[in-house]
Amino acid sequence: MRFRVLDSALTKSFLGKLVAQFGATELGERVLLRSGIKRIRMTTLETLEVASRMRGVQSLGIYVAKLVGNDLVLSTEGAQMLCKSANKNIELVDRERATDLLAGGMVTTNQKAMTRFVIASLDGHHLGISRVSNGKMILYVAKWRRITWP
Amino acid sequence: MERQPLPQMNDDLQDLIGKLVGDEAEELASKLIEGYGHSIRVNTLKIGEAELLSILRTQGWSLERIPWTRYGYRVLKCDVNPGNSIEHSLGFYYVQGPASMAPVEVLLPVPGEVVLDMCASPGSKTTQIAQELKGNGVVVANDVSRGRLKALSSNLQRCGVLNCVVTLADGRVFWRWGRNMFDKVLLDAPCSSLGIIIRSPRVAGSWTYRSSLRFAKVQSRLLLSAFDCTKPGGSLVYSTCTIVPEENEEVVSFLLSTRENAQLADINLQGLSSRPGITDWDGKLYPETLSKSCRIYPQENGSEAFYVAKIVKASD
Repeated sequence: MRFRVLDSALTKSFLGKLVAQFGATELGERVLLRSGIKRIRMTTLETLEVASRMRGVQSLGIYVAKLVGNDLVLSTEGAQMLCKSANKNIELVDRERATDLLAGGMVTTNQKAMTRFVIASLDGHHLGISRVSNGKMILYVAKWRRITWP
Repeated sequence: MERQPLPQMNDDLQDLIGKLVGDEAEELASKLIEGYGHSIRVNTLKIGEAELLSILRTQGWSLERIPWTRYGYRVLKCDVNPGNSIEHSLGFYYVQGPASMAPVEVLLPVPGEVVLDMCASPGSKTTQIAQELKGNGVVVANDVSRGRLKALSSNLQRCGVLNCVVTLADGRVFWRWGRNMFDKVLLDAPCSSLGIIIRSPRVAGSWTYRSSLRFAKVQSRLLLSAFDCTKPGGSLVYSTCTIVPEENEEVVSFLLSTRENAQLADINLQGLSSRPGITDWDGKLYPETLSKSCRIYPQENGSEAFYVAKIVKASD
C-alpha cells in the first residue's frame, strides 16, 4: 500500500488552516500523509522508513483530520496532538456534557453562530471537534469509541 | 485419592490440571473460572500517571498497583464499567489483564528500538510496547486476520500510537522480509486460551489435547519466524495465555533444538509469583534451561494464567 506524504506546500496550507481555526498548532518533527480522498494521517519519518521494508502494510500512524469544505475536522487524537495550545473556538464542557457528547448526543453551546467547528475540551483535555449549529453542538466521535450512559 | 469433579470442565481438562498442579487442582480450576476482576494500564502516551489516578479517584475509583508492572492497576471499586468511561474513550487507559502486562514488562522495549508484535490484535501489548517506546522508534503490529485488524487499528488510534505500522500477514512467513530486522520481537501466540476461561467459558467444556497439538504446530512455526526476525544480539519474548506444556515449553524446546544461537534468558519480575517452566512432562524431557521460563498461575497472583519465555539471539 502506498502512502503519499503531504508536500511542504500542502503541509503549510494544512497548518495554516489549523492556526486560522484554532489559533495554534504543533506538528514538530511529525509527518502528514494523505489517506483516502480527504483524510490526513500523521506518523514519524522513522515509521515511514520501516514501513517501506514491510509487506502487507495496512496503515501507518493515526488518523488526525479530514477536509470538510474549507474546514478541517480533527479527530480526537488530531485535536489532542495538533492543537494542545489552541486558544480560540474552544468550548469548555463539564463531565455531564462531555458524557453526552461522547455518547453521540447533542448539547447546548454558548459559541457564536458564525463558528462551524469548535474543540470540545474537558479540564484541559480535548475530546475532539464538535459541529456547532443554532446553539447546539454535536461531537464527531466514531461509533466504536462512543460511551453509553450507565 | 479420588478427586471431586471440577466445575464445568471436561475430563481432559481436569486430567491436565491434576497432572500439572496435583493437590492444587481444585484451587487452580476455580480461580480460572472465577476470573480476576478489572485491571487497567495507564496510557502515558496521552496522560501522566499521577493525573489520571487523581481523576479516577475523584470519580470514586479505588485502585491498587499491580506490583510487577510499571503502569498497571487493579480496579477494586468503581461505579462505571471501566470500558465505558470518558477516560477510556479518550485513550487515557487500556483495560488489560494483570498477567497480560507481564510479557512486555519482560521484553522491556526502550525508546529508539524497532519492535515487532507478530500476533498483535487486539492491541493490548502493542499499545503497551508503544508506551515504552515513548514515541521514539517504531512498533510493527502484525496480524493474520483482516477482521481482527479493525480492533487493533481502533485501539492504536484511541491510544494515540503515532509510530506504528499495521501489517496483514501470516507471521509464519514474516521472516521472508523481516529477517534480522527487529531489536525486539513479541510473539503472544494464538493458543487454547485455558488461562482466560473466564472470557470464553465454553473452552472449559470443549478443550481437547488434540486441539492443543494443532495449536503447537502453528506456534512452533511462528516462533521460528519470530526468532529469525530478531536481530543478532536482540531478544524475543514468547507468551501464551494457556497452561498446556505442549503449547509452551515444548514449543520453546523446539526452537532451541532448531536454532543453535537461541538461548533462554532469566526473567525477574518483582512482585510476580511464578513457577519455573516444566522440564519433565508426560514422559518427555525438555532442556533444563527451560526452567528459566515462567508459569503464572491465577491462584498465586489473582490473574489469568500465562506462560512467558525470554529468548536472546546470540550475536554473530
